[in-house]
Amino acid sequence: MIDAGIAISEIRCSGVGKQYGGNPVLQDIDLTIAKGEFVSLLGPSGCGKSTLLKMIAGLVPASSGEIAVNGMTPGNAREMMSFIFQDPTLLPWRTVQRNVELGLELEGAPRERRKKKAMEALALVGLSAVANFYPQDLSGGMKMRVSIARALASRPQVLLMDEPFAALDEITRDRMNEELMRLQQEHGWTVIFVTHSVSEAVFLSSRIVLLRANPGRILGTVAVDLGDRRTRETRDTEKFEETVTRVSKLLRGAQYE
Amino acid sequence: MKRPLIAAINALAVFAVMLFLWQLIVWLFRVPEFMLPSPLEVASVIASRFSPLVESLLITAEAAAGGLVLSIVAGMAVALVFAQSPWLRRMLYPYTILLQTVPIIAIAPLILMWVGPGIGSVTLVAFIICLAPIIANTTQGLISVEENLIHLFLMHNASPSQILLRLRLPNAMPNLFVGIRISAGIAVIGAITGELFAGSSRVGQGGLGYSILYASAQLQTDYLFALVLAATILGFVFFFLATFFEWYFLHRWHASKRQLEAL
Repeated sequence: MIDAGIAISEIRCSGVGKQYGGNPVLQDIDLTIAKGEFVSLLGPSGCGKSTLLKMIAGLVPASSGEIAVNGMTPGNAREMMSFIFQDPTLLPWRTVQRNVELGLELEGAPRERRKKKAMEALALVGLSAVANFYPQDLSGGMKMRVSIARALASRPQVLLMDEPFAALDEITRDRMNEELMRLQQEHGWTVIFVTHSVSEAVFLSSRIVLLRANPGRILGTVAVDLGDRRTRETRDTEKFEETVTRVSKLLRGAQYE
Repeated sequence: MKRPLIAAINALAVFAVMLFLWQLIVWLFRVPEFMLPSPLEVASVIASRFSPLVESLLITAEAAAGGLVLSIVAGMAVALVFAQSPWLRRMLYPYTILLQTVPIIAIAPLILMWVGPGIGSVTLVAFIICLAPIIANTTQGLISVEENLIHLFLMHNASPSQILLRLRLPNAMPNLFVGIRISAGIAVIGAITGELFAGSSRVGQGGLGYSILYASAQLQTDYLFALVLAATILGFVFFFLATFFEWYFLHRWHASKRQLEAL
């Protein structure tokens, strides 16, 4: 993995703000994310973290400031990014495999290649066996894995994840976190991960960006020093507990100030 | 598997009891045949005039099916336009409601006057009565797509036509079938209404509506009952077919259609 210190910056937000009908939602966001970094945006509801993610994806225009992804505007950089939503956003009329093929299909890839890439992506998330199932036949955790497989099928360099595991039960969520960790370590994606769960953010991230609400602003950044190889056992270490406590305190301080 | 069977047997038993009571009333009170024919008399007229009865039924079925199919094609086309342009939708949507509230029986004579008697006007009346539910339901399905799904398509740089054909249209299928189911039931009513005014063009034989008018003028009450029965069965068959197609196309993926909902 590339050393964060000398890495090429992949995503850069400078002075980014967002207003809805005169109400500021986000203000003065300055953020640089290097290639291969796993950065969580952590904050209470209403801090604009999802909005920020959608602005980086080019789905929502910024009211002020500038966002560059790999030196391009977000709209032009979409091919290197995949977005994973809070709900699985599967098309119920397509089988699992055809759902995973969607992105490649929209880009006009030939059928054989689509199928091959879809099956590869499904194998990554361990769902080869249900390729011909319809989404309604899957559990919540499986649906989310299909959603992740779909994002991976188009070979992204950047993953934008908007509270992808928020709707899952805690046990499933922990397992999904471990899987995501493993995949990210293997592929070296740049990940921006929006969450309101402190332990999830600590477990996954190399860096946590804390946001406060009304209007959304960056409160501070916490580097998570838990090493690159994180497993289930990482959660039991003292260092993990300590970081969770520290981040929680910082967030709470911002709430009551 | 057993429960629907028992329900069907119960329903048939109610039907048998009603037929029996009807026959009993006719016997006991000696009701003249032109006022109320007995079930046996209706059954015998069905047997003796079976082929003209079926012919009437088929004529009506043809006009009703024609009107329904046309309304599906035209209704989907209008809905696609409405889905693409909120401006046109706001401007024209109230008129589709008018289409539903205008008393069809009152404009049928106008259609007869403009189009002339025959299957053309009958089909047109069925078409008009079927159109509004198709437009309303399909439009609803086309425009009520989750925002995140649109975002998903945009992330893959999908074109507007890709979003329409691969997202909005399949998303609207359950709604479209609800519209078809509603319209299938009223298509037959529309065709019969049309025939009451315009069904006399064919020499010798007309559809159910025309025959109902004729039988009532001739005081052939037993045959009138047979015609009403045929019209009811025809409406039921249309509804059943629509429900079957809905199940056939949606049951694999649409949660509410996993089993054929018995009526």
